[in-house]
Amino acid sequence: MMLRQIWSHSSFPAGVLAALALIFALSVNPGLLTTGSMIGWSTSQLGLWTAVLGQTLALMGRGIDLSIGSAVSLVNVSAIALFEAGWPLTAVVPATLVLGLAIGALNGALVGGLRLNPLLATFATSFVLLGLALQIRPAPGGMAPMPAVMFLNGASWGIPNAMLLFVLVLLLWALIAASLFWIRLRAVGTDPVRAWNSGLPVQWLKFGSYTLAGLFTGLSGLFVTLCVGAGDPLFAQPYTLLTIAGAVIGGVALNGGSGSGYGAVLGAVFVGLTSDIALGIGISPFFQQLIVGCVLLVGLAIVVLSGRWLQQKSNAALITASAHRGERA
Amino acid sequence: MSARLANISLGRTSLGRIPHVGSLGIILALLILGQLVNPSFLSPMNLWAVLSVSALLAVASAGQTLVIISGNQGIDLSVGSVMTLTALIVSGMAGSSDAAVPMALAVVLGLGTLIGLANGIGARFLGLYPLVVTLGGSFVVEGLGLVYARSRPPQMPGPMIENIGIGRFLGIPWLVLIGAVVTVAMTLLLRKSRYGRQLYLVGSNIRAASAAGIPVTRVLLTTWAASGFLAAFAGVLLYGYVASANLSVGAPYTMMSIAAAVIGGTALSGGAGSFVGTVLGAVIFSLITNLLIMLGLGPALRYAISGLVLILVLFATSRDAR
Amino acid sequence: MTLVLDGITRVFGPVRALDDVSLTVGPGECRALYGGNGSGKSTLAKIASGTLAPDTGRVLVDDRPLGRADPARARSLGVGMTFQELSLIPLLTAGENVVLTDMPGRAGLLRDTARADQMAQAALAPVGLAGRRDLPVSILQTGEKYLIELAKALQSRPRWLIIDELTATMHASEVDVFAGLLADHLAQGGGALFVSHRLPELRRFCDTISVLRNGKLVFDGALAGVGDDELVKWAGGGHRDAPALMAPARDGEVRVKAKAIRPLPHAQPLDLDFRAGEITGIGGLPDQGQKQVLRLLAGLRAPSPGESVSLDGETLPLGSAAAMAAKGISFVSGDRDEMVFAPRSIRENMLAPFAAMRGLKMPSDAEITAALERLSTRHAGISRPIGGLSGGNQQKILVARCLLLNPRLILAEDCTKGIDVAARNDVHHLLRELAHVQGTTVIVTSSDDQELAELCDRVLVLDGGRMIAELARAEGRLDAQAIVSAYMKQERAA
Repeated sequence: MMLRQIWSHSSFPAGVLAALALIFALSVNPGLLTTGSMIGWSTSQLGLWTAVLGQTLALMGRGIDLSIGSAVSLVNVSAIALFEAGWPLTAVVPATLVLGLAIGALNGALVGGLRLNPLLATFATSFVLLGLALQIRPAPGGMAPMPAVMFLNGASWGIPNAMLLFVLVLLLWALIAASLFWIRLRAVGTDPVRAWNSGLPVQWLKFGSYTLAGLFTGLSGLFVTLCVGAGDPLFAQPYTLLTIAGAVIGGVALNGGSGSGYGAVLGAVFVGLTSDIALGIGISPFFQQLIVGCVLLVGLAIVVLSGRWLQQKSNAALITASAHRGERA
Repeated sequence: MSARLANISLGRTSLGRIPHVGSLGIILALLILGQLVNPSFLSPMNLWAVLSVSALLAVASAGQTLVIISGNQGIDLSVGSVMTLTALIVSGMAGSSDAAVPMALAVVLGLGTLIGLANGIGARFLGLYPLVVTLGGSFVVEGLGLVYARSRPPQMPGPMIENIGIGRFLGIPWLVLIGAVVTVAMTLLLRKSRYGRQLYLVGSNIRAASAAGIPVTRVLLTTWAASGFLAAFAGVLLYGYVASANLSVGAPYTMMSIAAAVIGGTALSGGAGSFVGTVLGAVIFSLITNLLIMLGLGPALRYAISGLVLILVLFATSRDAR
Repeated sequence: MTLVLDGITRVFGPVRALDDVSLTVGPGECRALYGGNGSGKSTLAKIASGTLAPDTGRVLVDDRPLGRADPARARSLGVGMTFQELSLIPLLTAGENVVLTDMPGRAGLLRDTARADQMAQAALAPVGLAGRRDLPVSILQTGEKYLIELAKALQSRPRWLIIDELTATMHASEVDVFAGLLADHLAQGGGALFVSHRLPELRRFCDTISVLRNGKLVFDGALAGVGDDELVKWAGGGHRDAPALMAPARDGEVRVKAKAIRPLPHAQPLDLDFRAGEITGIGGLPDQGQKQVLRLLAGLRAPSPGESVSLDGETLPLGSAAAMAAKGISFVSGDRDEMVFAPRSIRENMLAPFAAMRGLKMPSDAEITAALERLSTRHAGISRPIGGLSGGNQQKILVARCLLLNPRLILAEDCTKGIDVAARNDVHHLLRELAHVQGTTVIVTSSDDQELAELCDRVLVLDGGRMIAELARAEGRLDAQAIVSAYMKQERAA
């Protein structure tokens, strides 16, 4: 019973892939388990792991967010600009979160309020946000306060602080996943017309999903700022496509309604690990993207096909189980 | 969709029956605005320049238009990376002489077709979402470009390619002539050919299409192959126009091709749209960029403002029905 | 305390779906809303439940107006609706669906799963499905889904219940469950608007009736005083035709020979012959292999080993709809999701098979219009999208499409599903004409035994993929009673 629940979960294939990739990475480079390597790995990935949760929120309501990369970049360069203007960390942190929420609310207003196509609307905002980011800081530079950067690149009790922070992010996610909002968003994502007929405020829920996604974008931008320690308008650009790839590998459906944030994070872990491994086994950087691309494609195919198969098996099992229960009743 | 706009702004007059009246209205408004901003906006030189860029974008959006009309979540995110790859390969193979150009063309057009076919196989036979397949595919194609560029560093194009990109014939830029030919060919393909009729039907209801005996798989694979072929062709034009090739030269075209098609009235839900619409979408996009350059804005603000304008255009032309 | 619809008008494009319709439902009243396809009854139900806003007119729920389209407000005013197309979210469980809108929360934000489960159990117990509350709706059976839809509508304890074709796909026992719940609802002072085009059910549940025809209210009054014939006349504008006189089926030569086909995977192989100029029906209880026979002939099902079909002596390439269409085989289904190209024009829908095949002359617009007229199809020009028409008219267009093709074999799968009596008669008339005048072979399936008995020259009854009876009109053995007793006998024996 428990076993079936595990393998029929939408994030199961991504979990297997991530575990395999981790084992492979460790066999290639056993030194990865040292605290130093773990710090390096987790700080480089923290922004992506956080951003993929934002993408998951957008996808869940049958949307998509093509502006995540630009949004994280804008938060990043804005945070650095605020630091340079003399703002203390205690003021910059809430400011970045508010900026993230505002960006999310903008996307939400376009998709939920004006009912623009999510793909195109967020594509358009990605232009706006990237333009603003480039206007604030055309080239990489600036500096974040050293103590904060040191903290994020440090460890407590042998565990990287970046990972501890991400546990907090996951706790926040757990709250969202247990909320009324979440199940209603899933209803909207599965079938907006039926959700509306059921009396749900569909457009508000879509607005909410993007706004909350903005919170994770803001957090991601903050983490990127403190991990990198500088502002770079192009650093986070790949996040847009990586978060989509990670979420889909993690079992989040592109047509909304199904999947989980944890699966999406596992997918993002897998996506991040493939390039680390490619580097680790000494593949020339020129071949790296080709290899990573092929692995991603194969991963996607495996996840989607196996997910479909497992779902069928699990439905069949559910029907049988309920038939038995019905006989007993 | 543009007809809807017309109904709103023109109060259900007979103008609403003119095809693409919404797009044409936006183009007219942009032209007037441009002339107000800068008296040389309507000069023949600037108009030819805008038309050249539009033609390039229209050709790049041709395959995208076919894929989006084919419905079933069809969208091709590999357009930009295929364009980059072909620019790099033509550059590497032909160098700055014309002798090897035919050979290089044959190779890139064949390769583009194969990439499109691979996308189609992933979408049709593995049942993966086209968005996901072509996203993953674009990683791979970019990777190929990187590997190729290492073995053959890009060079300046030879006279033939360069002439296609920036030269003129009888006073008209080659790009515009090629764009016009592609427009006529695409329109005939969509409106008059058996494939075109089948494409619209497959795009509007794939189950009904197969029940009516339409060879659905053949139509879809043809569409994807055509998308790869046309992206490769656009890559060659782009190489000529930019007169250099680098690893990100085609990247912006993925999203721009989608925007052009959708602004032009191609429904993302499939089964509706026309190539003339896409051409007008490409003109709108290029006019906006040109206008912002004329205003003397730097690249950063140009990005931001073209994004805002894109939002406005989307609002006017393609709001989702409830 | 009444539900009042006052002067409702609603226009879709060129079509006036509702024209100044008024009706009232009082406490304890179950009012029938009756009419043919495209009469506007579903539109009126949606307006009453706030999912659509009327262009003019107003809806008053206990004297409070409904205003713009807003199901949430209608719900809070005490209106509940069951949708013909269901409002259940397939991925959520039955329990989650039932309480979705009123899901209890802690601190207004987090789900209270324990209380939600209690609520779901309480809501599903009356329909006897409390045991299914943890299953995703997508895997449940159709009848169960409609009962859950009912439980969901009742969950908010509405005073006014709008029921749109809820019972159409229910088993008799499920209809009884519904009847009990409806009686309770009415006894507690609630009212209901019951939308259906099945007269026996209207008579069973309702006391009063409003009849719509082409968007206009044509009758409003007590149900007891009017006869079925009158109702059908008001709704359809004509008498329910007695079956048209059959031309005696000519003894046509055998045209289709199906050898060793297996309607169901484990069934015995079966040989079937179909003659030119003959309408053969395939009947039986639902899902006994009727569909599979038709779909094999249409090329829409991959053949199992050993199956072969020949048409006029020529072996057919099974498994390819395109190849079968090229051989002159035309398939039409009542499942419009599988037949209609909604955004495309009527013309393109009519020409779809011609787009599929090489070497055929495209029919002219005049031929298309003529084919449509033979079925007296209502439309506002063949360049308009088919999606704007009512289901019945869409269905007629699909049947008219077969006329253009001049096929050798027509396969009609439940092709009059959900269309009104008049349209059904038109379709029957046309199929008879094709078979008996032009010599086309016609094979039909239908879940309606009466329809098979009226339409066909011969009915094969399947059970578990086996043929258990062959009833020929020529031998005087064909009527609905004979079909029913053929498969019921089998059931009793089993």
